[in-house]
Amino acid sequence: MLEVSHVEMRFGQKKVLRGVTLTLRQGVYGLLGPNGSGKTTLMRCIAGVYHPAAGTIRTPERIGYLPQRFGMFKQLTVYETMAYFAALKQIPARAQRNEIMECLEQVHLADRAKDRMGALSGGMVRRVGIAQALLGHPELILADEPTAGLDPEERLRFKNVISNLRGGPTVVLSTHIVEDVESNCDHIVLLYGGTVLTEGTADDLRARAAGKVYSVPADKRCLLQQPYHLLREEAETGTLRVLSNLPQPGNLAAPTVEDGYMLYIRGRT
Amino acid sequence: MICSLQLIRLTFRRTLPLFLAPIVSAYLVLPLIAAAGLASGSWETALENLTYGEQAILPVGGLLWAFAYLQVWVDSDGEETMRACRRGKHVCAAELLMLNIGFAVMLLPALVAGTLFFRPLWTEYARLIPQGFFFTGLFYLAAILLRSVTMGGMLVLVYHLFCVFFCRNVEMRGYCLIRPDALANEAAFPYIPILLSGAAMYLLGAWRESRPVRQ
Repeated sequence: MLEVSHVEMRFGQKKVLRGVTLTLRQGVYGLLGPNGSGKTTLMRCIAGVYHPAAGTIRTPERIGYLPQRFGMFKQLTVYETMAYFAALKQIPARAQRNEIMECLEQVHLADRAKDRMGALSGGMVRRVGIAQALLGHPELILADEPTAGLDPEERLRFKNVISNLRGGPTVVLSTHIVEDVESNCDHIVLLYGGTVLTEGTADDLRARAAGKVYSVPADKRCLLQQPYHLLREEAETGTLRVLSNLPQPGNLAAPTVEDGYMLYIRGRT
Repeated sequence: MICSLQLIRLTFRRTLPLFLAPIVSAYLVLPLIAAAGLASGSWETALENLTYGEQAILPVGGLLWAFAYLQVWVDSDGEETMRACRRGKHVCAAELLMLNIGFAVMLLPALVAGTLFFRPLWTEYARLIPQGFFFTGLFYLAAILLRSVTMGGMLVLVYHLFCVFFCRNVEMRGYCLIRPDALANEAAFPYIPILLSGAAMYLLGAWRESRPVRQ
């Protein structure tokens, strides 16, 4: 279990985290928020890289952490890189080999163990990053923007890795990509401006937007009542997807997690 | 301990040139410098050349090992992941100390060879150990404070060059820890102050490194 209580963090005069309080139990959690909302800072605080200016963080003993940038050790092989992290996590030498290969199996890289890191694609390096986070049987796994720069196939692989972790450790994925959270996470924590806006499931977010999302024919744009928020223009159907508390021309549309997310974010801007 | 040795081994596996440079200096460059002295003059000239070369090259050469190790922890992309593995509590002082000891052990065969060939060189050797300790401590502290091994390394290098160039200057000589022009038995060498200041810098560096980033 992870308990974050009234955590504050500032960079110079800028307050990045403003009293964040969270309790995360077993499951896959998505930390969702726009760029600059404090996701990475919160992840670093939880991982122990930063020390918060105020508040407390209680984490399990063993954690795995995948930061946004994991691009190291080009000269080492995949196995050696994993061995480096195994040594850092003080895994006994006799247990290292089995554990390293087990983690590489989980990310489907066991057959690349002897390849140099510099010879791997960006997606594979990312998977090595995930594998090192799995070393030492962590009770909490933190992954910051884990799918950044991954192609659709790699994203699918990542989704499978996360699915396999269900029922095991607490997993926290930080991202600004709503689809990732929708497809990977059981719970969503919405962070904005350094504070937690809401916590809940994907269904909770959808429910929040129910009755507020409209599909408006593009030629009726001039009939839209202010205030509204244009989510996107759908060129194929010739419609606009609009978020509004007021009735709008066109039909009510089935809300998505993204609609719920936008509703919260727009409510703050 | 075993984990630290494994970290050092893997660090050198990825920075092999930095690992080899001090060994090449001690076992190839210095004998060549001594041989050049022998070819052009006497045993005394050769010994003088050797002492000069040893003082000018080895203290900084030994720093390359510390540089290679600390670079991963201070400047690399993976620093964040590594610090998270130890929950932000890791300090590199123990590994740097192990590198100091390793450097001293690495020089032992060269000392024996030099002693057999010229004369007992224990005093030169005894001078190198506190120098290496001092420079590593200075480098460690500077790199941690400046959050850059390059800046830390530059600081030590500038001081080292200052010593090499100004050791003959009467006014400046007092500020030079390295005196390539003086044979060890001709100069009173402040072993204890150097060791103590080196230890103080090690401790300060470790203390600063153990403090998590607090903005």
